[in-house]
Amino acid sequence: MTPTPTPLTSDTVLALAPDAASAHAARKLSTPGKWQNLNAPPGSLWGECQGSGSTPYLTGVDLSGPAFKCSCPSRKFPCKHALALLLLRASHAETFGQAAPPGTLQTWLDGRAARATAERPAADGNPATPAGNAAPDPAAQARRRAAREKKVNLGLNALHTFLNDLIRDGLAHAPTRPYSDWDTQAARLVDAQAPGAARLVRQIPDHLHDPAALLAHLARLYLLTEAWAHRDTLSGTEQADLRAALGFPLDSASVLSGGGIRAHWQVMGQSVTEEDTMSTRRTWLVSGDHTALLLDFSAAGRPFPPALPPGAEVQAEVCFAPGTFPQRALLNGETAATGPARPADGLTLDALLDRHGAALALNPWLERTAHLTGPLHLLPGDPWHAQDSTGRLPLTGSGRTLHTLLALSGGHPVTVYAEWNGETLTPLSVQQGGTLHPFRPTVNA
Amino acid sequence: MNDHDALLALALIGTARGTLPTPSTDAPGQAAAQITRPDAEGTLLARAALHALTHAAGRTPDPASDAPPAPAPADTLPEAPERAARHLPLVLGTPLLSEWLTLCAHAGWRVPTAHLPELLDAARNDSRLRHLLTPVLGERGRWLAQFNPDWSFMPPDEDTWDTATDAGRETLWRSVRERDPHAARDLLNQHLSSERAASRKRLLIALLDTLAPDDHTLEPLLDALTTDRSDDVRTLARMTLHRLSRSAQNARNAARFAALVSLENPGLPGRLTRPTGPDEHATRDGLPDPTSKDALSAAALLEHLLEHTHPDALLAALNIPPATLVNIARQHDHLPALVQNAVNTSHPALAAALLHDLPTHPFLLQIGPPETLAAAQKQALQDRDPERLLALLGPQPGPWPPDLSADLLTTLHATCPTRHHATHTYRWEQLAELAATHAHPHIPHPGPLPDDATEWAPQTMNKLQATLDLRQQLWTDFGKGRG
Repeated sequence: MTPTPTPLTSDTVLALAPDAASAHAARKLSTPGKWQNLNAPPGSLWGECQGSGSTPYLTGVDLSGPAFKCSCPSRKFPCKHALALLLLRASHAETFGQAAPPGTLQTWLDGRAARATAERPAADGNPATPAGNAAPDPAAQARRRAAREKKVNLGLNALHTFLNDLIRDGLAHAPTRPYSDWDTQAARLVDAQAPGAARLVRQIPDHLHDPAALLAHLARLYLLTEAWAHRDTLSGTEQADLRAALGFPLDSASVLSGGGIRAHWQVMGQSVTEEDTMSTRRTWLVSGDHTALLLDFSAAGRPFPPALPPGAEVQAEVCFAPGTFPQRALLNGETAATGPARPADGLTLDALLDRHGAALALNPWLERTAHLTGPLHLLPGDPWHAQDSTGRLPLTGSGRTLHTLLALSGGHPVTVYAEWNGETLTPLSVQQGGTLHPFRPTVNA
Repeated sequence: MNDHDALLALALIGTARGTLPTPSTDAPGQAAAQITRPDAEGTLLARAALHALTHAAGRTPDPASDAPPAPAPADTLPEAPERAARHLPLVLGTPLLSEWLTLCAHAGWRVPTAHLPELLDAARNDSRLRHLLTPVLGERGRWLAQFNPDWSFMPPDEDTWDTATDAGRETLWRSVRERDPHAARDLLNQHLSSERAASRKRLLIALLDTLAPDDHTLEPLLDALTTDRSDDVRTLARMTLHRLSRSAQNARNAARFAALVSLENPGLPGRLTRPTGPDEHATRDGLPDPTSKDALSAAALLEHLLEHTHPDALLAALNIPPATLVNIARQHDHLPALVQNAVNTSHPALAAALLHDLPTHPFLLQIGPPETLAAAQKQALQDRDPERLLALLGPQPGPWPPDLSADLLTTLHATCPTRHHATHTYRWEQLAELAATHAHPHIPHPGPLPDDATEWAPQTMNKLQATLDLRQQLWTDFGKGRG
């Protein structure tokens, strides 16, 4: 039996919006007057919203996900109608009837329920292979892999030479190089199918004003070229770390078929970063001692896929990608919201840095880890700091996030869930009165 | 120089121009000594990688330095309960936010803590929200505002006058004015003369907005300002003194009026006698010197006095009823000046007298007898005249009485533009928008629109109805009755 999900608050619903425009449009639609037939049969919501056409749109939400279905032509997901339906449920619960949904929606709901039931036995250690996927041809796979390795070899050899040249000439001369030098080098690495290394090369100009940071950054790149040259001496998980750092795509099928951890996961928070035209959304899940990082990508301003609700607890199967410090993960199958996230004890800042250091010792290319930390005092300033008995660390985030955190703290210590990237802490949510208050992700370049 | 700095120094000049430094004998140095590559560049980069990683992995928190800020004082007002707070994300950024804040203040609650930054930002961008937000900020909000210079328009208390910005002083003064008008007058007496011109102007506008009869005690201060360096400040000071009926300025103007107008025969246009003698207060009262070549003609002086002298002072000067004053203005073609005066001073008796001449003047109707306004509105509703309804209802603050609101909705329904008859469509839409935010929310829904309504008419009516429904829910959740 699926546990009954708790109703989402308006803030949580707005956090599900694929972009700010959808959230704004949904708010405008979230008055009962714009809807006919608002209904909330057990486990789902449905209603009809008059759009610009002659027939109203039929919108349905499966609360177990939540999952969405709407007859409107929007390519955003969830669309403004589905969001407005959830907002209405949060603000005008009394206007909802109990009528069963029309045929098309009922079929969709039944299909989801059937899939959820079919997946559950798979959790007992007998993962089913994804249906419809023919077994890959091992010979073809080996050929593709060899071709890629050849390209990466050439690309990283060229990078190796480039780095040596930079050091031979002296970094004092690096800032006088034309920008095209870095761009050309990065473009070659993209061609060489090592986008992770290309990304690091593109970041070089950011460090040109700080020689110490520049040397550390180049050294990190150098470590990639060396590790690749000696990859045969690395263990399987170390090779996976290297491949991830070089930007090899994750083999989702094999990660999912490796089985996962089916448990109650707390959705601790989300953050979004933007590089060039690609946005990356990180969702952090925690269950016991496990921390899982889900990544979603959106290119050229397209909306993200639907997000897990931050601050909630979900029943999900999480499959970790291989690595010395397993963190990146994929969801297998449907998730079901089971209630609000539960509070826990935070680490001191010193313990947080210890954990991060231990992770770096395993995977030198790890960019960030996330931890529940506190109780912390907040020190507004430029930059802001978080402070406890072990010392203080710089705090970053949008002004709105930091001030909301300060408002909730009232000047008293708080426990936050935050990302640490080696330089600054970015708070993603705060424990407040026994619940987790998530901050809306803001885009950081 | 430690190992890392020695490596960095070489990296800066280039390995072509130097030799690799010898690692130190401590543990990191010994580890670095193990790292050798065939080329000096590789050895340098590999050793630098080791340093960078040990530095990152071995990082400890920075030493604590500053003391954290003092915690916020305990709040005395309860936070708005969930049933009221749930509407806030939906009304933020919409015109309904003002109503939400007003309802919150009436209920004696403060805004939910998590929304404070969003609301303070909204008030920063919209000054009209500031005085609505002030009473519901609570101690937490006032405490929070000090941590963002953008919110300095929300001063925490009166002691911060000296450090506040011009806008901050205005908001501070307005909030004191709301709590304690006497203390607000003291603040003006204490600070106004030493303020910058821009700040003097802001504070005088704030005073004009909130003027009350008790403000007569400010007269000496305002009198001094009628000779201020700033033109704007002089004008504002005179406007304020004009609205204080017993001010010396009004008395002087009334005396000028009595000398100018003689009422020999009430039926005929009164004769005007232009003063030619010196008038030592003319300049401070905004008049040119009567002995100079710029002196006003008798007619122009009459117009000025009819517009800039409090009606009470004018009526007392000649001991006449309002109707006679209207008569004088009409005889000399200066009714508009007197209307302006009645509107500026909100003088009901004069407005009532003027309404005989100008029965449809919307501003006079607003300040005249309520029954006249109600009758005019009723007539406009019967005539189904959207233009006139807009003029009559636009200035009237909401929520309007339930009967009027219901009648208006019925009228909107009946005058809905159809495919055959679509006049006043723009006005009709404007009226619907006005009704959405100002009508009493507890009124019955009118039925569906006729089939031949224009395509967009149902959308407008739905929007109106949806807003009214939301407001009705707001009222219910804030525990506000139907009254």
